[in-house]
Amino acid sequence: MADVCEIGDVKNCTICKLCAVKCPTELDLEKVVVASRYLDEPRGSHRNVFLTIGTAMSRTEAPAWLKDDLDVGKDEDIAYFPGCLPIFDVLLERDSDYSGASYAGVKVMNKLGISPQIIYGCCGHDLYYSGRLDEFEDTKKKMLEKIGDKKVIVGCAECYNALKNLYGVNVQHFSDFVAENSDKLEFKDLDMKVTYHDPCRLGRYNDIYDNPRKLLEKVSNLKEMEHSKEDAICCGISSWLNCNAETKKQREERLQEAIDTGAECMVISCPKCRIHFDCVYASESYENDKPVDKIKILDLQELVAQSLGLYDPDSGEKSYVVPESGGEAIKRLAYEKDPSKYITDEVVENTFKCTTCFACAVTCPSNFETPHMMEQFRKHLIEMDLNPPAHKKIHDNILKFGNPFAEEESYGDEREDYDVVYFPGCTAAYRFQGTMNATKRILDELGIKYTVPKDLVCCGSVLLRSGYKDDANQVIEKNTEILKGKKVVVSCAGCYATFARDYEGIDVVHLVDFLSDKIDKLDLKDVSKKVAYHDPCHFGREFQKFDVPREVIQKVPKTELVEFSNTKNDAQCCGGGGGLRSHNKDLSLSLAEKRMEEAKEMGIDAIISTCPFCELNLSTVSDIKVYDVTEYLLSALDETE
Amino acid sequence: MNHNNDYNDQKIGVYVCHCGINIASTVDVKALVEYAKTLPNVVVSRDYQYMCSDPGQGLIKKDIKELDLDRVVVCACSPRMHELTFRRAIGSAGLNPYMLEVANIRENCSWVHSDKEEATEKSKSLVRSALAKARLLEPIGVLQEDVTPAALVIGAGIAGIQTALDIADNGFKVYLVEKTPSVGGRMSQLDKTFPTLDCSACILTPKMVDVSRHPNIELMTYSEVTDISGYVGNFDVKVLKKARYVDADKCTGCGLCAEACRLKGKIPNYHDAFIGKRSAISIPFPQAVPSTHTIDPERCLMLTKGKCGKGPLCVEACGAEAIDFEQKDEEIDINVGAIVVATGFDTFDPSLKPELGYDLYDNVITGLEFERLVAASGPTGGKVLINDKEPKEIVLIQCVGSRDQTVGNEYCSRVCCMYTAKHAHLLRDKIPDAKITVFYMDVRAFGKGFEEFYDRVRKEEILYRRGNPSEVYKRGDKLVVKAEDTFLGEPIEVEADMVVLAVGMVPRSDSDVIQNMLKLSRSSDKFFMEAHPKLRPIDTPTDGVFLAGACQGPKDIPDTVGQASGAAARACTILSKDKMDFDLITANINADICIHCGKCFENCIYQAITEVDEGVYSVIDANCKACGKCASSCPANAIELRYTTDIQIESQIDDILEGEEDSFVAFCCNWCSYAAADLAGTTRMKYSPRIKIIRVPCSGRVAPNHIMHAFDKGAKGVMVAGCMLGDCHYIDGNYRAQENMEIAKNALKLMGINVEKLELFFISASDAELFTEAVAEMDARC
Repeated sequence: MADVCEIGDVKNCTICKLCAVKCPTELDLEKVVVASRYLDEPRGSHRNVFLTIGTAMSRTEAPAWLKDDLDVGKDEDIAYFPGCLPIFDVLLERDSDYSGASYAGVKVMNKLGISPQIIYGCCGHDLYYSGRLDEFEDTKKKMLEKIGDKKVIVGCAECYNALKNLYGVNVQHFSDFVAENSDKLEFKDLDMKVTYHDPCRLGRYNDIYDNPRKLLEKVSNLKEMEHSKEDAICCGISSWLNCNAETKKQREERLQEAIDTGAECMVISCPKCRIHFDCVYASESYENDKPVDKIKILDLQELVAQSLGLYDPDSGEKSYVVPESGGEAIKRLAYEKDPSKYITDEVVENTFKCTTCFACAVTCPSNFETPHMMEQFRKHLIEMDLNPPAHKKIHDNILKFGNPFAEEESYGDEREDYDVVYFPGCTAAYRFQGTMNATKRILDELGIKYTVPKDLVCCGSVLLRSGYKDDANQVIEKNTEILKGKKVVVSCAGCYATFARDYEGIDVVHLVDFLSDKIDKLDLKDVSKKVAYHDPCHFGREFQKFDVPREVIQKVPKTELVEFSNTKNDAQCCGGGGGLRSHNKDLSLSLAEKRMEEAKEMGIDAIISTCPFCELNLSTVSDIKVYDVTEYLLSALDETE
Repeated sequence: MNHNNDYNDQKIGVYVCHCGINIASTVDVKALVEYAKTLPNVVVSRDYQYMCSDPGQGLIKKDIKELDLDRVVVCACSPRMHELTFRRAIGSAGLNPYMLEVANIRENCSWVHSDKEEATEKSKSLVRSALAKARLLEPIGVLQEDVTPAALVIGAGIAGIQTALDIADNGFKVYLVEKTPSVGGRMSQLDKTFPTLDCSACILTPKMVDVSRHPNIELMTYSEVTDISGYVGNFDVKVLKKARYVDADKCTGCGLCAEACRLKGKIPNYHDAFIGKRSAISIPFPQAVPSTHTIDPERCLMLTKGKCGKGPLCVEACGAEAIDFEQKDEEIDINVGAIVVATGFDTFDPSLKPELGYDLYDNVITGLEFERLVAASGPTGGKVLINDKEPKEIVLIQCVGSRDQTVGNEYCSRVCCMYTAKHAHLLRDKIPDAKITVFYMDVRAFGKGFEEFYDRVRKEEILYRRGNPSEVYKRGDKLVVKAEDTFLGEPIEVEADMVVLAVGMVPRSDSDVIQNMLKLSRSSDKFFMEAHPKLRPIDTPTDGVFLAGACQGPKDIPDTVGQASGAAARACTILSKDKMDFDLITANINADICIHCGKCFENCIYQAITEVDEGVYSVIDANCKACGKCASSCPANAIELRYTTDIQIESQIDDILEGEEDSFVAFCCNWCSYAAADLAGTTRMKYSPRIKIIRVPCSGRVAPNHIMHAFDKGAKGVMVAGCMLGDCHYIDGNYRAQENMEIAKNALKLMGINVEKLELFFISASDAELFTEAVAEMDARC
């Protein structure tokens, strides 16, 4: 087990699915993350104790722990699954009674005349989502035997998701169950303002948004937070993996949102969210730490039971009884790790669907950078020989020819006397030479002396994005030798990102940045066109460079710059990146088409980008002219169009 | 799957010692050598007769150089024996000394098991465990810090005076800070000293003068330490020098101001135990050092009301023009390398025993008040007068506030028996015809000359009656002391004109101020706690901070002075170094992960975790003892102990249990229980080879996750063993172990694992028998 996650810090993704709607290829991140965690086995917070308990419990018989004044066990076909709450009460040393949520849940069932079977044990949610998949399978097998064909009521969002989507059993969430039976219950208005935090596993995973709210409206005065339902911000922790300063800040901000509603209580239907929020208040330094006033945090089951007069969340009594223990020690696990079992075709397909466009990353409240994780997970898939043949071909070309197109001739244009090195990149050098030539011409016009060394090879972007991290180092070393200590100008967003992020000590600048203070020296003539700027992912979202290219374009007289409706951080990816174009051209082009449809509706004459890759992909699917910004400037210099 | 990648390049050498026949007769050394060769990363595995010998060490050094080894595992005797030897050896061969792990195949194996096959198997598990840790070792750096060659001594009673003089005589600068206006402390309040009856002032005054004149001592009276930060060798101290409203350079100590003061004789004098009266401007007693007068800002009319008649009489009286009502408190920053706490004691407040009538009757007084009454420099000029009358019948009551559970003081104050005897003697001297009765529980006359003195006093017609008075009340103009004479077994009443209560010593009421500043601990008697009751009686848990005198526990003067000199010597061991080296086996906080919860800060008894910014914590390596309690309580996994990481412990568990279907794991603290296991080996006790011992710095390092991990990996049971409660090498680590055990047991119950399989033991280093009993107990349970 590693404390440092090797696959792009994959432990830091909570799989909250807030980014899912932003993903242009709608890839199933959940499957990819789980599979990569299977390889990585990230350690959990609290020195992994909860995950260790989880794995151990895949081999134990969990005893009963609910306080015994409940009416249970008479109805055969309906069960309540309380989850593993007292484990947290015992281990977190907070004098908490998280177990009260389940106790309250059963109380409400009793009120409805139901005496449910109680199924004790661990649902394995955290085992599954932390990638402990063999242990999860054992847990699931055991739990399925206990559940049989009973209908199971659960109050915990994670248990619900596990039982519904990972087990496929007949499960109903407490909120749905009570809503269904609400005419049989007499709710008392608790006369308090509350707000509701949507747990990811209930909301975005399972579309349960309304019934918890309906119940809350019956018993209290519900105020919505700024981000709610589909937009709800995650509590920041999944499967105990990523307790850290960043995610704590996220919790503090979420609590502040709750407080800002004026509510006195934040209601949650996921005990884990509650535990993680509680941690903010459990911190010793809370008083000195900046955040938030205090807000009460309760489980939905507790509030409902309270309004029915069945439960007092403030009683101070514990709802669990530590059972007298039987059982023996358990046997050591004997799993052989077998990636082929869990790295399914589906996982592979989804992994290579990613265009590394960063749409997810800019959305993520935990600042998790999915593209980096994807790159590193791809590396592992390459080791298993699971990557697309097209990627292999390109990889071989780059290593053999120094470019993905198997071009043998160098594009070098070496000069003795120079101020900057121009690195045109493979696409501009071999396919879209317009960009390279325009760039050279602009540099000449400005009197900037440049050279294009003949031994330059591919920047490595393609290798890196497709997972060939180690081989990329070869080209990186080669280029670094040539470029170290020099000022490097690039005209490609992909090259820019690679030099800026993956190289060390290269003084790189994208041409638009380079031009920004020199553009007035160019004699730009009128170009009467209505144009839109398409933000390349690796320049825009990745480096938040939005304004400079637009300023440069607007220097061309008579040019009208309009905005796509999806622009800047929301810009639609062209589909060309991340190796998608080479192995799944249809999907790749469908993204480009989407972008171009937008362009058509806008009635523009041309699209301008700062990345030859975008130019390539967008121009493949449409007649609307796609310029590189350098080409557009050139047109203004020459008045040819 | 990918975590072993990093280890693939490692080159580890395994060296198996025969220890003559000590190991080789029970462990098949050759088989172990061959087995080690099959384990990952082992590039060489050798055996030798005596690995600790020069040729043995030479083997290792040669391999390090020739085979380019980066880690070494030695399978030999206990690491408590030769870990340092081998560290030095690999260090001299160019490896970081900490790239070593010792598998204890002698004390933990060959000496305690008889069956050769079993012992050989056991030794294999030990080498696996050692390799598991070795693979995860990181080089340990050394921190070097400059030492400030100066000391702070807090409190200038006899303890502080002696400490300051000794340190200063060693050539180091001393800042001697005293809260009251004069040095001298409690001793200056005493009349005679037992058992020799030297006049306290006569023997103390020269020392008081010495501290004021010593060129290396900067005396800061009427001053208080307000803040201490830093660590051994380098403490930053803030001292508040309170305004005296008298210019010390001008004041001649003539006392004309005090004579002139409008409040003369109206203010109870602290020095006279409040039975004498002073002016608002005063010196506490005639021999005070410095002799500078001090104006009491809470009493002086000028300072409280802004005017004093037509003008302050003191100003008029002072020819030296020394009085300055504009004087302000001053804050002074000093830097020192060591600190000695010599803050002394309070006397027990007899109001807490209302049955003794102290609050009700003027003629019930405390022993300290009696000292002032009988002292020539006291308010009565040494005449024993109670309400201006000489008492004829006097009762002295011992053990007031000592050995008394009803007031929470179980301890003996160690001085009251003797000072009562002294009081009786002085009374006999001053009032030859007095009837003097002493009530006592036991007379403890343990010191040099004590028994002789007690004998002498008894012969002076002092009536010693064994009994603990239950009540003092008034009958007519007499006091009546009611008690049961436990020798006669009958209740008695004794009439008295005066009752002297031999009040015991209690910790100073303001002890918590210093305690919090220095993060000191207190023992159950609430006095400051020493680092070890036997072997480090002067040190505190905080490195560079020492204790002298009664602040550590009740003491008489000779013991105090002895401890003071000891504290000075201990301080000088630090001050005499230019630099201090700290091996960085310490805890380390990963700031990227830290959630600023402050748990580590709260839990660290060594003040090794500091809040560098609001809610941002970091480790002061110089203070950290590497016990690992902080690491075991960090929710975010942001703290690791550099030389005993969680992952190292878990890997050891993984590998020690590899292929072992019927073993139980024992986490033994290095200082006591592991030492007890060693002793079991040395004395050739036998126990089951099912036990697999993992050495940890402290039982408090073992958190529920380690216990769960062992169970998850198939351990049939887990035992945690620490020092005896109260004897923890890290002070309170085993209390933390106790809490962790409770948590882990509850968790086991909730998981459905038999809680009998887990137990915590407290085993002292000398108790090999208890250790083997614990092993047998676990063997039976698992």
